[in-house]
Amino acid sequence: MEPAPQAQTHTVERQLVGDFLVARDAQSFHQLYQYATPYLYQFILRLIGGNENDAQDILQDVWIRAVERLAEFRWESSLRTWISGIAVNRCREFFRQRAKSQVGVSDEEFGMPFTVDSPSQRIDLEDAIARLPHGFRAVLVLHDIEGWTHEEIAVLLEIEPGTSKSQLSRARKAVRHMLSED
Amino acid sequence: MSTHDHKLSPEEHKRFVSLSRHRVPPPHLEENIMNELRERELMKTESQSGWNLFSKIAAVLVFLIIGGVSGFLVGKSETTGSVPDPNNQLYVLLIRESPTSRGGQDLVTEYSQWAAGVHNSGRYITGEKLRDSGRILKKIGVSASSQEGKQILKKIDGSIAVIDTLFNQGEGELGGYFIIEAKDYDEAVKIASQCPHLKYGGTIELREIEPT
Repeated sequence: MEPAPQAQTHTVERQLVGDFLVARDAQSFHQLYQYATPYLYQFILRLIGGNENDAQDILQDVWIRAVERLAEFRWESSLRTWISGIAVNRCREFFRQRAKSQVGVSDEEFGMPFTVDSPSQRIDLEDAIARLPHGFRAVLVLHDIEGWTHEEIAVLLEIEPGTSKSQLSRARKAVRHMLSED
Repeated sequence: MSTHDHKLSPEEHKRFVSLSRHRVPPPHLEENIMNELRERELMKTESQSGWNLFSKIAAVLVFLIIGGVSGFLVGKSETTGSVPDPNNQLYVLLIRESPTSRGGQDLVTEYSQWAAGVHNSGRYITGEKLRDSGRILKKIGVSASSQEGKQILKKIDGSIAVIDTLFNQGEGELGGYFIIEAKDYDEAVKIASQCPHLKYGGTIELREIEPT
């Protein structure tokens, strides 16, 4: 099924958000949740590399934060883009917390070099993306799957657009390497 | 995948965008999230749904007005406080909400006691909650920028834009009103200043209703 035109999507989103802000009841939240969650959950899963338990914890936090801020949302972007931004930031916190709790494990921050071992077995594209360091994975997911621009990614991840471009290039190279059959 | 450069080939691009964009989490997660939202008072509990603070207060007022609390009226005429005295003035208290002015059952009780107190003093009082959603009518060409982000253009009727709006999005929005009777402004201020809405961070705009 083709995605709805942008204007139509915005109208649907405004209606769902408006209904929830007025009622704040289970029914209106259910409608909003059902609309956004399947996309959001898949997005979070990719950003963190596929762990479902972690993704569910993050999804819960993202919804709490989104509802806390929903009345202040000014529709400068779509609801989906806005809530994706909250998800990206929550995922970054997740990696920072994990790095602190794992002494000696690299934080894999943006701009740090990384190497990818030769593939020992056939993996698919989803697996290859999941194996990227999280900073590189975020740029690749946002740009190549979600269609964000480097400028948008730079603002969200607090990096330079040039850094986003170079990391995307290296992430693509790593994915190709992992998917290669030699 | 191509290995000669780092730009995506059309085939690679197609593979990326064809990846699944949806995945449904376990069903229990939605209920967990709702419970968390309720604990944080970001969502109504089931008992609150459809029965908010002002609805309860309005019901109390109706109860007072129809004489359902005749026990409060001992020693007074049955109609005292039920209709305005023509020798007094009517004032409207515009109740403006703030995030901290939302309260629970204690606040409802306090409002009810305040309203009952005004009624028992022999002064007329009534009130209503305003719905959170409404419509703004603007002549085409008049800037609506101050309301930007809250509005959905509903329809345009001739030269007038009719705009659906949510009014529950910030401090100072009009949430309801009371009409009280007082002999003058000073007494009206005295009555209004005892309204518990102020105690919980809300504001009240007091205006005299011009006699017709």
